[in-house]
Amino acid sequence: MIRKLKTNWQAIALTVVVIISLVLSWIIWTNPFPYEGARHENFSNSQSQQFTPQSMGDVYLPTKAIQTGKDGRQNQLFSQKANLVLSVKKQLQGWKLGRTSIVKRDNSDVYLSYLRRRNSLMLTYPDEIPSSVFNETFSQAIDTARVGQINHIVIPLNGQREIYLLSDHRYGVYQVRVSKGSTSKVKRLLAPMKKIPVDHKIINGTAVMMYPRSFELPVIGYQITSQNIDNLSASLMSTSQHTTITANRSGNETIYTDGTNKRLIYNRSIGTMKYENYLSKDDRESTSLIYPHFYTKLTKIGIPLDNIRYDSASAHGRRLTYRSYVNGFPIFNNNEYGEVTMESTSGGNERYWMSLYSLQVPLPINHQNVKLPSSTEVINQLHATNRLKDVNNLRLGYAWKTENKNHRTVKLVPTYFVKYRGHWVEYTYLEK
Amino acid sequence: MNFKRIQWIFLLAFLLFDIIVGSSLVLETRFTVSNGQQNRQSAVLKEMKNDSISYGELTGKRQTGYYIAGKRSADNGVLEQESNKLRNQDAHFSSETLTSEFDDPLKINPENPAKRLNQLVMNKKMVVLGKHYRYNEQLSDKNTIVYSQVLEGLPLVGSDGQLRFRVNSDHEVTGYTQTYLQDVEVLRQRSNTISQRRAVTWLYKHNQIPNNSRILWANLSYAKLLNTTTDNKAVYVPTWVVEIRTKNSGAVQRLQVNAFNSTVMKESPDSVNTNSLNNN
Repeated sequence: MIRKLKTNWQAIALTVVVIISLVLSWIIWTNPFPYEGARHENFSNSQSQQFTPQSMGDVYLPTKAIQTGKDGRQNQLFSQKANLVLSVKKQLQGWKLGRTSIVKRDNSDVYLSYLRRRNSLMLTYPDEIPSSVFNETFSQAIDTARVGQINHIVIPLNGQREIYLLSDHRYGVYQVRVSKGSTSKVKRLLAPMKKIPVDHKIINGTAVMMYPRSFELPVIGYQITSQNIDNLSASLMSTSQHTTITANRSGNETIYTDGTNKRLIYNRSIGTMKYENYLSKDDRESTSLIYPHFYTKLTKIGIPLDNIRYDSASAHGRRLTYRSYVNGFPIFNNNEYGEVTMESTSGGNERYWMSLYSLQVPLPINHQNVKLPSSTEVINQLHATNRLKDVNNLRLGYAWKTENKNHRTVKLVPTYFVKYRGHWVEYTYLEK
Repeated sequence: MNFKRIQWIFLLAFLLFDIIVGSSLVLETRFTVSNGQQNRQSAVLKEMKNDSISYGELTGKRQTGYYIAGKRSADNGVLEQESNKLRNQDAHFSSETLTSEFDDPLKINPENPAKRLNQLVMNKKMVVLGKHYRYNEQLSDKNTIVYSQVLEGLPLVGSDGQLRFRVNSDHEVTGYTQTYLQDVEVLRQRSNTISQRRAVTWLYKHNQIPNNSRILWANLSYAKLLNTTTDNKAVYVPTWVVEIRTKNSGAVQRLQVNAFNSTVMKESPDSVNTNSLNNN
């Protein structure tokens, strides 16, 4: 026996290495690394970067949590204390998700039934995200080729061994097997949450969430922090090449240029900035890598990311908007304070829009609640003004009003916002 | 070319393939951005060693915390009202502090003072609101034993919520002073903080840690960030408190890093006027 092994050891060793190579090939085949390209900018240690405890998975998080009871009643869950989405994320990271399959596509009735699935918890993103970002956030490896975009994550609470991923685009419903994981801890997290009754509908081909009844939300106080323009311009304009940055004032604006391809236009009166970087077409980031690419850029600018969440995608997924959120609700400001928009055009242009101001420290205030009407009532009121045709979205959020410039604090007031001719405005603005 | 030689070539070729692919798989981490930061951090830790800064094990695990509001219990506040229940001691309340002298000093074991004092603190007749406090070994010394008020699982540093027991040379506790933070309220949802390792490397990179020194400890606590005019409440934030001893002189200094945004905490907190927020 041993002699046989001795004489044939080469053949045996060859067989072993061939088998290993087959196994390795199979692993590579089934586990593509979604962010291969991001590695290029990995060690570009060019500027001192503000340490943020927000990982990429914290910025690209679902913002809404909706519980559907056994009777089919839906409630949006919120809390001033518990961070349900963060806790559920931690739970899901310990799960092991397996095979993915398509349940249905292009059928709005089926889609709606999954949005209203009884005895479930649904986490909803403010806008679609690629499945690779879902994998990154929840430490999973679902099939990104099969599931393209995700808007909702439906977690059945009846002990079913699967979750559903829903994509508003083409009403895609995907089933993902849960090979390891349990919902018992998730269920416990739901108990202390406050509830607002909601309902899902499909209107003009779009899945929307409505607030069928009137409800109350608290007013919130925040301290406004302002970044230093010199620091921001330095971090945005810095290059590895030896170029001099020139700053020119004209009217309310200061324009910084590096003489070659970078330009920053700073509006001194309202504190907003527009940054442009003309890259060649070959240097632009591919669409599939836009999400990690902009996250990296966001951490390098040096603005606080505490309350910043991914909010929307447009221009075929090449323009992303990030917005401040409070207790799971978006914050809107007329000057777009607390907001960052980043775009990479197909021509290679990279553009960012942002401001010096952000919300960082919440402040104690005397408790005040605002009573909000149902969204049906809001729509009826808009209908009466005859402006409904120009409105293409309705959201619940908090208004950051900056009428009084000298104040370093702001009172955030809950209200509805409508997207009117491409801009988010308070619904009462249209009633005037 | 004989069969043996072909076999050899195949064997080497596959072996090479396996090693390259296998090692790239093993070395690959899924998230490249954080991977880069990890590497930078370990480079900074190495630099610290070169500057003869010694430290114990530092965890890279992120923790979570809240922005918390509360106000120091003042005249007619919870602490003063509760203090009527105290027995076997002479207690009086002034300038937001309860000061008390025990009728009979209490013998403690200097090696393990908490063993005896934990019982005392839980006894409502001896110490009021005691269940809100926890023994803080790092802040204690042989003359003073400190218990810190606990907010959402973390000790509060600073003078707003502390029990300080006085110890005489015979290892006897003779009395204590107490402050208490009341009307504690969470202001924002739970969020991630920077890790212990990040806090220490951040301090080093910003030249806050002198060469040839030792990091004694680094604990996550709550520290005061702002005073406000809303009912005299203050805002508290998760803070990495780092104690450093210079090896030559033996001087000890304590640094505080805001764990939400990694900035050094100011010596005296800012004041914010919140009156406009409270007008309707």
